[in-house]
Amino acid sequence: MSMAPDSQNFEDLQRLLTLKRYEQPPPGYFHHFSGTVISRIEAGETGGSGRLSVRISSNGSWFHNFWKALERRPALTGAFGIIVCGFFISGIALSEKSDGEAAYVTEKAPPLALVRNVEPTPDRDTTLFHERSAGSLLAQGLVNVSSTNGASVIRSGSLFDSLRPQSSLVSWPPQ
Amino acid sequence: MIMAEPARRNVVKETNDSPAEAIPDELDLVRRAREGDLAAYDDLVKRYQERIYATVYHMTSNHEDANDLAQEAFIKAFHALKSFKGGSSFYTWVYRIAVNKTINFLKQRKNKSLLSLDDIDFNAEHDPDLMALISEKTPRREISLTELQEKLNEAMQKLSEHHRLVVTLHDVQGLSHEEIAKIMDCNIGTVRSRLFYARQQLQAYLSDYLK
Repeated sequence: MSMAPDSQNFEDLQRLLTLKRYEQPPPGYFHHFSGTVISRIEAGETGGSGRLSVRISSNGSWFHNFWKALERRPALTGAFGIIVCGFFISGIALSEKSDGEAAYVTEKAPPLALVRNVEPTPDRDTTLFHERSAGSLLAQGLVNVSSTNGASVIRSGSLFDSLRPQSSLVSWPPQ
Repeated sequence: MIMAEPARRNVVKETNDSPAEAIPDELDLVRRAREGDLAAYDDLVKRYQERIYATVYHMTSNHEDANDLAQEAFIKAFHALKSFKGGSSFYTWVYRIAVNKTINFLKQRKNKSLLSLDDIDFNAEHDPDLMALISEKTPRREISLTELQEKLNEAMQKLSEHHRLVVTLHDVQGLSHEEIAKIMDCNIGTVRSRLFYARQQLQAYLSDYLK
């Protein structure tokens, strides 16, 4: 007998549903069922949803559901691993790119013209300190080269800045 | 009557009780249980444990949930025995408790369902109706009974709780419209319309396996 999709004859569906009648709990399950019920009554339980509430809350946690999904779907596990690796690699690449940009700026920019805007002081050693330190600071990418005032700005373009020892310009007071 | 359909006789153990044919000593057991006789209540539990478990299981598609819900329904029924007036059979009354408890649980659980299916009895492979359906009507002839079971349960879980309950009670457990109406505390027309809609939905979900 063929059945059109929109047919109202549910005979085949009912036959398919008979499969559910064959779903049986583990052998011997009902041997202990009533005994367990009586034991729980004797223990003073009232039929509240204690166990079920615990199961609902544990099933409901996003981490639990996510972990279950990873366990059941290897493709999802692989995709998740690729995403994590991608984040890690892009973090490293971004860090290296920041260092490269800083080196490029150091080569192109006239370091003394930009950095040497300190007040002229009679103390030559102080000026020399600025001249010496500017190049090395620019190379490290720690100085904002667009700054024209005395207060230099510390760059923060890298994800790993917090791991790197930082330094800033020191202005010695004129003597 | 729950055992009316021939296919059921292969699966569910025959018990000689039903709401329509109340066993004479049932009221006596209820009276003794109400007075605190746990042995009498143990007898009552043994009479209906399989049906109650099966109903809850087909509603949840999860053995662990069904186990806890069925047990807690019987525990709750014991403590509520004093409120049982005998207006309906004990069977219908316990059923109502289990069904309400299950629906409340499912509403709390919402879409967080995890299937934990019982094994299929080996007798399924000898059910001529089922085998004919799989081998002749299903285009995916290589599908196994286990796969079909999973698809069927997934489709059932897509139904609303009330529609799933009607299909479970009528098409799986073989209860009459009248019995279902008593359990669900609604009229027979509502049962019929819910059953029709639920079957339509299931037929659409399982169209690949019914052509």
